[in-house]
Amino acid sequence: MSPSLLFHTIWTRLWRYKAKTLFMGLGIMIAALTTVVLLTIIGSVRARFLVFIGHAFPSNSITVMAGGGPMSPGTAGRKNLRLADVETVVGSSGATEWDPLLIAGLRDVKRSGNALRVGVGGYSDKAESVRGQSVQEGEFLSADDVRDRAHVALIGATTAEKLFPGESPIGAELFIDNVPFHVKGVLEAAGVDVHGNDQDNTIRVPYTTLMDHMLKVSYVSGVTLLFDDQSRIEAASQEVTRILRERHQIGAGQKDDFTVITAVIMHEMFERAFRTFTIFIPLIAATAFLISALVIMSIMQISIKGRTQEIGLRKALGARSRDLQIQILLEVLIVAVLASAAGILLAQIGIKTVAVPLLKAKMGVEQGNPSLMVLAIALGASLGTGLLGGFLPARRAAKLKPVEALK
Amino acid sequence: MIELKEVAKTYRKANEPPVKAIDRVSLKIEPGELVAILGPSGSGKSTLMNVIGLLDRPDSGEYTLNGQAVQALNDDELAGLRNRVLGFVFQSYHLLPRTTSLENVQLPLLYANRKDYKERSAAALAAVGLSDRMNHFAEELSGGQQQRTAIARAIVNEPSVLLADEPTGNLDSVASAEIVELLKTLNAKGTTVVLITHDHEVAKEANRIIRIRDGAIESDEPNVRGAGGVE
Repeated sequence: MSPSLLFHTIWTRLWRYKAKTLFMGLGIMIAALTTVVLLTIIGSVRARFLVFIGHAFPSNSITVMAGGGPMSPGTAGRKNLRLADVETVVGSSGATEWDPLLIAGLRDVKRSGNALRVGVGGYSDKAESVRGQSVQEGEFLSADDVRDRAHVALIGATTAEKLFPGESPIGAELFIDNVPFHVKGVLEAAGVDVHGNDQDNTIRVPYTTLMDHMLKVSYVSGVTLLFDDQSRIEAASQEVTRILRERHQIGAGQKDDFTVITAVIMHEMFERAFRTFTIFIPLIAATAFLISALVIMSIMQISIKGRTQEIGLRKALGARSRDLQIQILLEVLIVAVLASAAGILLAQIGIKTVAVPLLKAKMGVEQGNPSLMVLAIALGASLGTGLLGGFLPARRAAKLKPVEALK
Repeated sequence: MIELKEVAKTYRKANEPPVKAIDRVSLKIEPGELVAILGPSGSGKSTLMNVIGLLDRPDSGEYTLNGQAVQALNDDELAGLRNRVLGFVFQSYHLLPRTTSLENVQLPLLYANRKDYKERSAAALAAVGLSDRMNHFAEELSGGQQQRTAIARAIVNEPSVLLADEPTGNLDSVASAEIVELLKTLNAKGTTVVLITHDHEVAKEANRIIRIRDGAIESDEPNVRGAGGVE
């Protein structure tokens, strides 16, 4: 067949029968749109989670939490991680740096006219390097602050904005549960976390001050240990577990009253939780494409029936069965390519104007560009759908006998 | 050119007695002839046309077209012969709707894989006097113009044989005369023309008339009134 004449034939037909063409393409367009939007959002959310996890649990760190850990409800063991435990663990695990964490929860914070409820936490001077967050204004906590149980506080950018609108908070006084503190610095902005919580609405004070002057406790909520050598993490986490079980006198067969988290463990937990998505999203997309294949097939079957005379005529004029199959399949494939291109375009627009702004506000997702992989999947699935939907009608057309089709 | 020997075709339908559409027909048509196959409806002339036009296979007998034994060829080879050797003109034109005259004329060229399809189709339309209607959709043309477009389509691939099945059946007398005149002109330029008709007036324009009745040839004789050479 003459390629240019064939394309002219197919193109003019699709153009002159716009309604049919549109109907054939609609299913594929919607399927491609759904696929690209879902896969892109899933990809962006996953990337955001991985950044979040990587930030909270660096690969050269071990985090020990009192109790069953962040994923487990209940309060058993929450008050069991004593400072002495932490110091022993640090001493024998070979950690180069460490930073304890004491979560005090939401507290009343006042400053002359303004009052707020803000999450308050106790940290050490090492938080700057161990947790990778410094101050954008003022100074960080010092070792002296921790040793002297100083009444100084670092505040998040949102807290600063709310309590000290339009002025510098450095050196100002505020009250946490009516205990006076001086603002020493404003933390670098961190945005929302993956759960949509504003990480910049926070107050950090020396953990010693929080333990001895406010909460009057001898335990901490957790500790993060840093190591020079990443290959030591596995052995060190086992050592930490052994020491804490011994100190807490946990017998064989009994559960830990603490949780040791490494980057590897966190990634495993995350991937396990995320697997549901990675199974169901492709299933939804495949269903959408299958339905559009059926739609194409039925539309093409009806169309072929209506084109019996045309097909008979083409055969009489010299078309071989193969020529007709090629023509019909190409018609469907061109529709599939155009429809998936339209679907991908609409998906891009939808992602940029709706999905990303929404996800940014809810969980701090920054970007939503579909990966080449996602585009290839959408295009490939569209072509497959076209082939699947066009195959039977094309065969049916090719089998028509000219003398019967021309009647 | 065309040679049939003892060709028969029987149609069988469930719950009905078999119908012998043509029964052991033998005939020979030489290159350059203008032959009319004349018969009433139901005489088997359409079946004969379908067999000669390679649109249907006979049950028995031999058919030689251009020196080739047709019964030995597969469907694709028959399609190739229909494309290159034969041209068809139908009673109801069989033009594609929402398709221009030019595009209709280009149909056979798609399967002939010709690069010069634009020039050829324009030339064929010029030969039937429809150059000014090239870009009209088929349904916008009069009956006579539609049949002329169909003839342009039939000759665009320069076939040796033109098969015209009741080409004037749907036309008024003026348009009919034009179409017959056009077929005679094409015959004069060397194309063999086989004209299937039930209309004696149309048949009289041929050089030879084969009368067919009940699936068999009743008579086969030169037509003295016809213009041009007679056997």
